[in-house]
Amino acid sequence: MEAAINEGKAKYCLEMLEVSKNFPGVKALNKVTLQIKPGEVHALLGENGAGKSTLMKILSGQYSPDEGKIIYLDEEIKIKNSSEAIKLGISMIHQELSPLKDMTVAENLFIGREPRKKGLLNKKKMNEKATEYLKEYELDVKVNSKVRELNIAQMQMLEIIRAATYNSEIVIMDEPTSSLTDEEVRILFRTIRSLQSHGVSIIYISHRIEEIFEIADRATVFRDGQYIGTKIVDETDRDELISMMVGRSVEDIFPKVNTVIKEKILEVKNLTRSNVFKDVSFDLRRGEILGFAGLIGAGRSEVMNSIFGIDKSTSGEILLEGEPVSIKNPRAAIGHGIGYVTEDRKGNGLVLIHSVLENISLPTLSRINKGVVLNKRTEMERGTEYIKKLNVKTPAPRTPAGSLSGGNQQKLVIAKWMMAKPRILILDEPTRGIDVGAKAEIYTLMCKLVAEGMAIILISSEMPEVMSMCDRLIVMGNGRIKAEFSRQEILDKEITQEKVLSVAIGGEKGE
Amino acid sequence: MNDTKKELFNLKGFITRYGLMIIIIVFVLIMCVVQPAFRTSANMLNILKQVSMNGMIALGMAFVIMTGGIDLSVGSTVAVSTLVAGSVLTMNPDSQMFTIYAVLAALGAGILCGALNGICIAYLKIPPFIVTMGTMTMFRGLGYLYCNGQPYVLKSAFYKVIGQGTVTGLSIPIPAIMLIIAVIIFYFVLNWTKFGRHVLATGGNENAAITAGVNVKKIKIIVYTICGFMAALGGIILGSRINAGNPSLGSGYELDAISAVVIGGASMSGGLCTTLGTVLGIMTLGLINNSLNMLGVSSYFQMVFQGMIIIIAVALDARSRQEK
Repeated sequence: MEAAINEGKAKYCLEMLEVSKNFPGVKALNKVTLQIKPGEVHALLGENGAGKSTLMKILSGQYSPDEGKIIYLDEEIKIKNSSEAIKLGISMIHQELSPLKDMTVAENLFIGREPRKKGLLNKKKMNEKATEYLKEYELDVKVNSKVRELNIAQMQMLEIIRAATYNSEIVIMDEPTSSLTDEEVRILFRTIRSLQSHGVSIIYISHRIEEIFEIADRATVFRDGQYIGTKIVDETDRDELISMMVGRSVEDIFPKVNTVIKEKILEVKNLTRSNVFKDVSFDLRRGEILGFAGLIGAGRSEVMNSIFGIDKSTSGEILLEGEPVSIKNPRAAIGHGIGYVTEDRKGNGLVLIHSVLENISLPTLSRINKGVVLNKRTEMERGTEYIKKLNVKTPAPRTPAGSLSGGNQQKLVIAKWMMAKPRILILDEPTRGIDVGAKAEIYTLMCKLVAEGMAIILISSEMPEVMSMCDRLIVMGNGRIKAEFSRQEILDKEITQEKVLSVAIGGEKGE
Repeated sequence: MNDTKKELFNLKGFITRYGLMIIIIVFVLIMCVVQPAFRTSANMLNILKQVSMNGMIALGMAFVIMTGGIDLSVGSTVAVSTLVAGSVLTMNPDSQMFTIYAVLAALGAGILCGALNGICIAYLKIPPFIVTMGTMTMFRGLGYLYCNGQPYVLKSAFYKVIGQGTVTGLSIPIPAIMLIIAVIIFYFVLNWTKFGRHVLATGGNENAAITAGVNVKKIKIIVYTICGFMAALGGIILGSRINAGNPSLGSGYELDAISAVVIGGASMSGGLCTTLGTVLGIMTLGLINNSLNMLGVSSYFQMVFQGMIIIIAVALDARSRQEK
């Protein structure tokens, strides 16, 4: 693809040579190398804990390396802190966005470099320039709207534009698509192309292999803090990259097995929440994985929030095993045997400052009570059992949850709900931002759970995932159910990703 | 509490975590050597008595701070409880029964004050700082109205025993015994009950707590009620020590209580608090004030010093957390 552009100038604009970094007890990076050509999109691949983030933190000035050198624009440099990195032209778009939500789009774009007139803020000029930038990078928002009003994709675009207009030479993107829908990804890719045409190099970290083939020119793979190799994307394939990443070949990351689908356990009838979703009806059977596809903002998570009692619904009925129930709050939902792995593990999944064990046992404390006293031995036994069952990699059960990697945090949230032994498990984006190995583990686990008679609702914005794993697929758009497809239709290729997407968008303009 | 046990063995972790405490212990040892009056048993008992009252309030405050809240109204609650107790005692100063009534009435008043805070915070969704800033003024105003601005001078011999008595046989003041019991209950609730976990989870991540089925509203109301109750206990100890019920008592106590909790390593954003830390925080303030008095340091300078201690404590704590 774009590789042709780079052929003329084989010289590197950035070289990180034999870089090592040790943390107490861990060799995070062991003499790794990364070479970036001007104007290329360079994918950085590896499972969680492979050392990608550590290397990027070194490049953006947050860590200093123990060994190795960094050559940037023909000069050996030492990057002391983040602001120095930005001055040098190296910006990082973080996985967790942190815009100033109550300031305007223009104010966010120009934070720290506001145009001035006689020492005062020149608002007019700022808004004019901001409008210009937004137009250039095709972001359709108003310069004076509050960032709070934007959706995640738009916020991310804003961050990218901010980085790009800082005269960056290198923009690091860490999992930029993890919270975007397919349509939004397309917009992001357009922005990346546009950055590239301005001569900016992009270091692109992603767990979605498919994307690498769409956007990247070259890819470097790390594994366990070691450099494994660099490939020209056009000359390699998915399986080779995956086997480089995991050190073994992965036959199929979607191990869906057919299970016996039994009786109805949950029926939702005409569930409505004013202005959010309307007339949502579906049923769920034991032994079944029910997929929910759609764009972000389609109302899928909102429906689940209502079923779980986090939000109130305006009208409609929920029946559990044929009995109408009223679920007023999550406590009631847990009492009815529903578990909910929410989309946002930092926001409402985990208490990051508390230990792994305390997080696991939080929903089920009343079950390990002996009178009013907590039975800490039972807690430790059951907690350790589920840590093992889900293969949560933690130094100890008492380690703070916040110090685990993203994939392990996700497994921890699932472990917490598994320990509650639910009859119905709702999984909202359970594999977002986690690596291939951990994903496969979660898929296998889902299959095991339904085989044991649990019913699972799987919400995912990753089409291959939701289409490969479900027994039935519901597509939502604009707060309504648009269509329902059977597994057979998907297997027969009658229903393709494109079809699902077009149903989800439904001919109407997506948000 | 396994955590603390482990950290006692982990010397480096202990030093970073309780660096300030070590400095204070050294400081106390020095005081014992240079100032003979400091190490007299009379003085030690005096410190214990002083610490008991503030300690009660601080333990209640610790629960509130664990949920990420704050209670500025405890000083006013102290005043209200001395007045309620005072008014009951004045009815029949010589009756033992009336002492019990007085104590119950004062505790009841504290519970009401705390519950009012909790209900406003949980149901009206007003930030705790604002609610308790309002009730701080309100409760004190109610106190003045209640007694018509006239303090009660108490003559009850029974009531006096609570604040001034000692356990027969031993010379340990009754308030100190009360504090020790309160600390044991605090430790138990914090570490060995579902309620304690739910309090910490509410402060650690409220949304995660709600999703995990914690009744956050109930937790908040209980926590502020406990805080009001503990403030009333503090008020009873104070009132019985000085034989008075006075609407101007207790002013500024909220800051002492918050200081003690913060020095003890609790996070103001909630979710983190240990029993040992809180007790050490309570002791620190008492010891520092007493020793500076002994050394003849002016009370003006003492204020400066106390302020500095708070900032240093929080700075040390922030550093040890970063290192983790």
